[in-house]
Amino acid sequence: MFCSRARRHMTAFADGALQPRRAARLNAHVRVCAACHAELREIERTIAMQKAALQAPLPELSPEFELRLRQRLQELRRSDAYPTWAARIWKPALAAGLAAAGVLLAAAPLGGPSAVLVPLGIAPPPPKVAREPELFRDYPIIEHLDELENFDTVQAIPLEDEVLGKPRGAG
Amino acid sequence: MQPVNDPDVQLMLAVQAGDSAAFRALYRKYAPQVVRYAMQLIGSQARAEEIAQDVFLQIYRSRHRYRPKARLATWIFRVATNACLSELRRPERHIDIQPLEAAIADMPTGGTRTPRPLNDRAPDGEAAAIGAELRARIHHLLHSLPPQQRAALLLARMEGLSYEEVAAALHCTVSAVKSLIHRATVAMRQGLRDYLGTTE
Repeated sequence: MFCSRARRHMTAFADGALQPRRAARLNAHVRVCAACHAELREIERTIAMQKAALQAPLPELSPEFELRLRQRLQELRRSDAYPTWAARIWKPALAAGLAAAGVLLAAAPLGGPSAVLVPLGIAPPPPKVAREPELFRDYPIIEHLDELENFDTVQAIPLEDEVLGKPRGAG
Repeated sequence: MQPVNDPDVQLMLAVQAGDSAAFRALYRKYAPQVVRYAMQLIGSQARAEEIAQDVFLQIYRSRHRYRPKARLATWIFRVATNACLSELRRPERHIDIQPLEAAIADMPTGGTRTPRPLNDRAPDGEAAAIGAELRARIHHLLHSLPPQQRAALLLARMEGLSYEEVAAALHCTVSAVKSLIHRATVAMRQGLRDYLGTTE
């Protein structure tokens, strides 16, 4: 065995983790090579020092550690038992959304919905709506047209100071 | 030890079956070890305790996926190592990294006194002083090692895992573990020249 190869395996040898055949070859080498023998002794002593220095006693855990862990476990069990509304629906909702987007995008090159309306999931108005604007009433994009017609009512809402019983401009 | 003969594996199988007392027994046994390991690996006790909690929550979450292929300790240290290495990869931690050469130059040497080799006979008080100093130096050198080498060394030297178990915990081959531990040991030996009483 060459010195370079012997040295590469010295730590595993000192730890008793080398395969028996390789360990026997390394053992034979260090018997005849003074430099590698000295190197092995150093590695063994370094390992002994590492073990001595790193054998720290186990830390005493604070009562808060166990308390906090219990709290977090309870939260975990609760969330496992009762998944949130969002958690229960997000996968089906995502799947449905992706499917709808896919269908709309596939239909777009064939004269389907425009690129602007596709992300909104809204179909474009049929051409006859453009010719007869009064049909807009019945078109679903303006669902709340009735409320919009009562815009006068909105304007008639009293100002804040009138609600509080102060005449306007009284400062 | 075969996994089926490991009493901790039996505890984990009980956890799988919904036994919360078994889980309590597991974390009471392993939490201090995980905290000690994480503390040495990341260098912060407060963060080590948080990581240990994350590890046991992760173990609880993964209980149904657990298969007794190895000693339970190996699996626990694997989860702990992943958590610690993720913590060490966080960008804000990178400011603490010090190259080994700088660590050796900056090592605590106890003032101007030259450390005595361990094989010298010394009075008890002196030996104790050298022991504390040596421990400080080894911890200093440990924290200058790359995280993978540090993890492998700690698992082998502190937790007493075999090379095969370290490989399972680090999710790498036994050859890689041999290389990691050898490089860590050679680097440390360099920083311990004064104590080894050799010159090169």
